[in-house]
Amino acid sequence: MAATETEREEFEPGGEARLPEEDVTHPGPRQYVMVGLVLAGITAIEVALFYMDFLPSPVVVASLLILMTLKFGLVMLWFMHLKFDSAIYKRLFIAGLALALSVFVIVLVTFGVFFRS
Amino acid sequence: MAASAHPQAVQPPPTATGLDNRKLGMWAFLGSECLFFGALISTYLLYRGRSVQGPFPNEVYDIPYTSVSSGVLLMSSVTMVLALNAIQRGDDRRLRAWLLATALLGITFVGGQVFEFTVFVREGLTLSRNLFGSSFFVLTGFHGAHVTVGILMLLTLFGQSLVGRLTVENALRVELVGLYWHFVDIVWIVIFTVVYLIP
Repeated sequence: MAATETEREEFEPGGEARLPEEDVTHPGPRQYVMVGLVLAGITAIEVALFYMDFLPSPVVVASLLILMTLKFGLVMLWFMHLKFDSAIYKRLFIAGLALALSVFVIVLVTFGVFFRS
Repeated sequence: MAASAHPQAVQPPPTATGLDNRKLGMWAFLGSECLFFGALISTYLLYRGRSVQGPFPNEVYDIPYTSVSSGVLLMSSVTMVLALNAIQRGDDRRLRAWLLATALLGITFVGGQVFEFTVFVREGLTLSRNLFGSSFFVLTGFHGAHVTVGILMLLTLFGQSLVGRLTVENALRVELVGLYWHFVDIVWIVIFTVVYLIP
């Protein structure tokens, strides 16, 4: 509820200039800074994981990939506003991303990159 | 008068989707860029560990240095989104401050990359030295070129704002440059993990 008040306060002066699909729910500066701090925290954890030699390699790799996906998602949803914007933008971007992922995973599997000793 | 001052306010853009075609175009472009960078990252992974002569990645990478560099680029995404927030509220002074901060952080990142490349070359790693050198320099070089284009766009926006040609009515310009900038940031998120951190 408090967030709604903040949003109203922050966006009303320029609110009428926005496009209809971008209405009301955009976050304010405080939320953006919070997301930035979370991103910095995740990066710190990633770097710490790199130095944890005692952990098995598969655990490190899996953790790094999960954290990378988390950071990717946070920037995409919050900073690029895909969480709040029209679903068409999301579909357009996800289509490119999914195509790239599927094509290149197939290429890498074909060349045995994941199973190399 | 109010309607002419804020032309986007009254009606959605007269397009089939009801969305602005410029923003739709930018998202389509970013979707295609996923394939571009996907190809470069895949090539790096394909060649990983196949170099027959050094220097090898673990001999040249400086993880603390690259971590700081990554942090700088991540923070530039925060300042970019704050610039967009400022122009949407009609706050020109903050808009210019955040745009300039974003550009400076971008310049710091690219400067860091140039320094890193210089160190690598001094240590014997060049574009044609081995498979690692070729795939590494092409991937990170293209990313650096994208950041440089982003910096030029940010400085153009800053200049437009200084002469009063960037107001709340054309906030979409800042949003489009912002989308590009955040995309460059998420590509680096992937490069940092896949290229530098994964052993």
